[in-house]
Amino acid sequence: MRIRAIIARGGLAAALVLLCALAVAATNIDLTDFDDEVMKNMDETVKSLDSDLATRDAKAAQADAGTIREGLHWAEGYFTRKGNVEDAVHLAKDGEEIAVNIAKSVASSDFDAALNNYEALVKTCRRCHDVYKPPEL
Amino acid sequence: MSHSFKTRRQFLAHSAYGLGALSLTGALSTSPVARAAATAAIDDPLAPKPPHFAPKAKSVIWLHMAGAPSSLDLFDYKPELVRLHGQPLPDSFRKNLKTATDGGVGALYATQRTWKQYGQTGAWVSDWLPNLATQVDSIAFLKGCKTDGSTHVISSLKLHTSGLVPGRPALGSWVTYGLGTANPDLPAFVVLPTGTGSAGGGRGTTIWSSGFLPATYAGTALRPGDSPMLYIDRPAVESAAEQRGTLDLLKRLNEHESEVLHPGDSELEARARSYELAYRMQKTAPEAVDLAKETAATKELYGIVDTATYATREYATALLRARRLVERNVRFVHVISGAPDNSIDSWDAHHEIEKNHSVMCRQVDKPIAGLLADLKSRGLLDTTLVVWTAEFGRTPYGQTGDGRDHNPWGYTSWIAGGGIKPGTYGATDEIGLRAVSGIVDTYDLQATILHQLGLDHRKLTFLYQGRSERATTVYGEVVKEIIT
Repeated sequence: MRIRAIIARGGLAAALVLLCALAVAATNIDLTDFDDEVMKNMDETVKSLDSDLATRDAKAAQADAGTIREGLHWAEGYFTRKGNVEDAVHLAKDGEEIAVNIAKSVASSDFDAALNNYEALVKTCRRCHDVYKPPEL
Repeated sequence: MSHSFKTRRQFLAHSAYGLGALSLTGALSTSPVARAAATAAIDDPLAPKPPHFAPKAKSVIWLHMAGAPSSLDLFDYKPELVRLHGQPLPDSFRKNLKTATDGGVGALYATQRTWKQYGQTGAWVSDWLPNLATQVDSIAFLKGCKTDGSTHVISSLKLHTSGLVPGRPALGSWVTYGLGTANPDLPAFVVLPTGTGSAGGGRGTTIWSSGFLPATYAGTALRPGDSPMLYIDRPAVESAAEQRGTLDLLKRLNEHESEVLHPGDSELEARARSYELAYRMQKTAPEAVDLAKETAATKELYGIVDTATYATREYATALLRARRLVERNVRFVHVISGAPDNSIDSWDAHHEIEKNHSVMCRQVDKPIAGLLADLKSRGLLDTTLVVWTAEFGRTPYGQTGDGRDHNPWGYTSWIAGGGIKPGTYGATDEIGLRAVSGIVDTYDLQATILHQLGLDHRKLTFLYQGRSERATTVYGEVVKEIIT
């Protein structure tokens, strides 16, 4: 009984390790050629957009949403060229769409909708950063 | 991509700063909340201000476990980790794992503790916290916590200020800014550091700083031990009338400086106000932190005994003071757990976790359980949020053979009281490496605490250098599932 249990446990552990190995990171991707300046600029612009929406500065919000959309479009292209990181490509595309929606909401003076879209935007940012952003040291 | 906005922003920022009228720019904001807050701030930055909506809590006792305890040895029981003890970290768990410290990834390291489920909620607690285990039915365990960074200073800054570099206001400062004081005779934001050593959690003024908020909102640190405030008494050679006369003259001089020479200098205004607060505190503060009138039963409840070397004494004293402070309507009490002696530095158990956590748990277990029980028996727990948290947790893989490394990907915090629903929310994966459900970032924790105090984290704003800033930066989501 005990031997069987040990064998069963050992088999399960081996299977687990095998599964893990199979599941391994196709996502081990070299991001050293990523242009950090683009992301730093977007990071600043996202903060700026938050302020624009809080102060209801439509003109600045439109400009910042446009800048973010452009940055995410660049990121989409970058990850597409890298290949094998579909999740990052999708997240960038989602972000672009949300940025467009923010601009539309602001254009129609619907700041509540713009704020809701903004919250969706930062969540999209974080979902991508959780996987691809280098750790803070 | 256009970079031109930076120049424009910088111009606006410098213009606003040049005016030196941060409060005024807030008053001119189109946001009603910012305007109301800023208008009140012009008269008295600590004047009570209405919340955005009806609050559930009035005060916060923030228990900062500096150095980062291991959730895997206290609250997050993982039988799978026990089973896999000694094996390498499976590759599936390594996927996208961004290790940053130099400890490497050692073999999986199982908890050495024994575990039981407690209370109606069935919360798991290890034998290191037998007293706290009796209070689990008051606690909401957030088992899916995560953060950024993997060094104490960065993650501690993020936990307290939502920033990764110094310069942003602590949560307690935002609370004080948003609500003002509920007791003009005591600081609204008090910090109670305890213990010896540097405490790996980035202990220092940056985590209770007011950052870009006016300096009057900064935390006021009280010393541990029998003399929490130095020079609180009026000197024997000075009469009460002389002291009042000196302070009146000082006040007039500071007002002249503030109005004529340095308008908008918040540090000068804060300094001027601090003299008056200190004057009032000569009467109120000693009484607020004096435990002489506490009963022996209460002291025993917290673990305060007459033996100076007793492990719980200093931390227990701090927690009993925290209760007395919230009883006197102090808004935010930040208690930092340092090591009780020089045998260890803090919770930072890179090695000898058994020794380290034995000492640290013995220090905090009975006092925290006593605090919860005491608050409850006095009817204060309903309106007081007690928050247990740290800059991050510790890894399921070992380090140096008998320790654990930093783990920002999945750990446990908890909240009790103040309209919080007891139970367990969220989870880590099978080995406790990453949060996989009910994920709560530090931004979300802060947003939830502000919400319970009646403040909307999206509306609590401060105009700084032309930009509307908020406590949780651009992030934060209230964890509605844990609210009653």
